[in-house]
Amino acid sequence: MTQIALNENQLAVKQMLSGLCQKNLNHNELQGEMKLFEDLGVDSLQFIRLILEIESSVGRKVFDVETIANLKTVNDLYDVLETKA
Amino acid sequence: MMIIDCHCHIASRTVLPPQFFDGWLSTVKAQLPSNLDAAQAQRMAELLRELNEDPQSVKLIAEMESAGIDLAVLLVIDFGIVYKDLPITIEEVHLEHKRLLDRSNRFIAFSGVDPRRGKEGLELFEKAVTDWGFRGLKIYAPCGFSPSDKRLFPFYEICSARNLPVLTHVGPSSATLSFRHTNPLGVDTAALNFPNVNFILGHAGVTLYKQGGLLAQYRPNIYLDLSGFQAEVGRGYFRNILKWHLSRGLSRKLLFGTDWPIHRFFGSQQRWVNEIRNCEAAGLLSAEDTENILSGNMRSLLGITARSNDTNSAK
Repeated sequence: MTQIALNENQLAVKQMLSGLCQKNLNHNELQGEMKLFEDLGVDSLQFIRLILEIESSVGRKVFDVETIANLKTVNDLYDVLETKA
Repeated sequence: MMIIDCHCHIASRTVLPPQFFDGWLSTVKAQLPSNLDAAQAQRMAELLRELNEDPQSVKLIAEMESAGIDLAVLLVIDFGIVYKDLPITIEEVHLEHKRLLDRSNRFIAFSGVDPRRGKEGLELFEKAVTDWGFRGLKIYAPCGFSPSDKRLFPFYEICSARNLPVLTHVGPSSATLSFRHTNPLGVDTAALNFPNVNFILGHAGVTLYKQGGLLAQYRPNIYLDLSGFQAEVGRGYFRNILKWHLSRGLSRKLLFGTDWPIHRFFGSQQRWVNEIRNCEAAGLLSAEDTENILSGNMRSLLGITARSNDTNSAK
């Protein structure tokens, strides 16, 4: 599978996710197609924290309720950052 | 297969007031593993408010379409005694729901009146079910009264005479409200005294579910609403809870519900329907169980036939 080059914001998200992921995956094992809840074991509170940390990190609002509700995979997070950050 | 969401609210600050969300925000902040900075706390408050911005239920209808949900039950909560300075009266809250019922055949509404309103409150409830097409009663115990409060008995007399179900909240709520009367057993006196009234324990399919489940097992007129199951899906416990209920023969007592708009952050309405369907695909539910949970049980309570919103009960 081709590795897509991640920008600075996306790399920061990857770092955050590997930090809170409950599956003991390191930064390099975390793949874009992985599901946030099922594969990474992110729970609802961690999810909220992640959203807030991402916005703090990029320094602007990038999410709304609809985009949050449709976040399923790591790639979904990258896509929001690509289009809105 | 018809699908009924038995537990929704109009997402609007006139229906779910800011004080309710303030309490919820303080609970979430306290549960997070580390403190939010001031900007994050402000942003969290904004996002919670955004959840509640669908006053015409346009987003809800769109989500129902995507998820294949045919009908949603909208529950009125009477916050008017416990919260001060609300923008509209409880009668106006009912009329907001009636306007939606007049505009769309996708909704059913349950009236909600604090029994401390006395005769006027009872008259409002009677008007709602007689003239405005409401088809049940919502009891919101976190406002500070028990579902077995004798002041509710005249309401239950009306429900008994008209075959209307009662949905009562179980478990914690916003931190600005009382949890004292939210135990499942709180409904027992009412359920015992009104055997012809069907009581739905809101959230008790997943919250305090062992107590709720025992009541539903031994009282024919007690049912369990699964709304809030989204949090248990996230925690990985939902299927075990469902197994617990099924092992006690409760598949005809469980009702699918989402508590829209509360769990919107964590997935679409389609995701929540799929979570139930996936339980069938995993062999946990039979096709009949799935049909019962997604609509059959609620259709029985509302007197609705399989492919129609017609009722022989409330109108």
